[in-house]
Amino acid sequence: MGVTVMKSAFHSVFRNPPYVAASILISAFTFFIFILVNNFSTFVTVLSLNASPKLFLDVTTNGAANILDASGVAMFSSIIAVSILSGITISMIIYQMRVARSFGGKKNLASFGGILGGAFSSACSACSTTLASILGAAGGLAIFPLKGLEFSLPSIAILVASMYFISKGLTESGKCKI
Amino acid sequence: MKLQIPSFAPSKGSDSAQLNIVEFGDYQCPFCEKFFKQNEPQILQDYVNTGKTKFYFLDFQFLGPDSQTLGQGAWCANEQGKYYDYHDYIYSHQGQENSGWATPDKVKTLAANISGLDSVKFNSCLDSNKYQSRVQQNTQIGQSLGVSGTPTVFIGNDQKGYISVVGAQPYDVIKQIIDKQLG
Repeated sequence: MGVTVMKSAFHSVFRNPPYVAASILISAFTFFIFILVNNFSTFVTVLSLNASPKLFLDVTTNGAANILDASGVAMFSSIIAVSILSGITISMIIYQMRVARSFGGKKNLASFGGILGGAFSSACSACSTTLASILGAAGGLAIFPLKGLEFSLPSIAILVASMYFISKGLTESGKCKI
Repeated sequence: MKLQIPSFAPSKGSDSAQLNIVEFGDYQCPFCEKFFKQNEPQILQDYVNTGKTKFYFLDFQFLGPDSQTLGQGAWCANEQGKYYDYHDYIYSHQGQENSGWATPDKVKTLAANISGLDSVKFNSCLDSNKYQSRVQQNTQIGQSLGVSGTPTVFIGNDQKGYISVVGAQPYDVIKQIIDKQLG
């Protein structure tokens, strides 16, 4: 039932190429934001140098490589998954707002909680004193048994649940048809 | 930003160099290891060995008790003029954070492999904990400069002030800041 509802909503939303493009762009942007928030001071420094776009790209790819190095393949994959699901979910919310003329309420707000969880579980390029003091121990997210997947997996679950509720709302509203 | 480099801090490079590059790092931090392997050789080759900059490493040991031991070990090695030999050896043989790879006994074993280091003197120094306050002092210096993560690298001099870079960032970021400060 749930899969059918989601398939139907996906078909309605993503048969429109602009929503596919929006989804890809938002996914890439979300991943970039995860890297930006964890390397914020470096981006500010690079900005102050009037550096070339290539240097921004270097810092971004280096940030991604650092997540992979520090957190491993499983964690890196989960962050990619959160980024992709964020792109899909936000595109569906945009579709819902434009077609059904409804934001969808608190359930859609939950999806932003999922995105925040992804940002928190993304590792930065430094050993952070702040994270060590928040968690009360050295080692950052690595001290958790699942190395931080404790945060990214619920994010994925929240985003999938949001997609389901958006799909359900679109189907039940009967306003999917243009 | 102003930075007062402690007089006891050992450096690499010429005393007539225009700029200072000051790294605050923790011997257990994997990103410091990455900086050591990825950036330090290029900085030394392009700027330190050519007389343009001096390089300082100061310990900012916050990642647990093993970090404290490693920090004290550096100053014990410094007594024998082996501060940077120790720094290079430890980063080349870094273990998993707080896994027990850097207990006092393990640090002594590691240090015994450093060429020219007198193990008896080193072990006695480490056992005495005589550099505990210096390790804490360096961490406090870093904190007063706003260090919130390691590695943090300050590039500049007293006249131009310092620009900081946090994390194991691409060499080009470091290079552009050095060139800007040199210019």
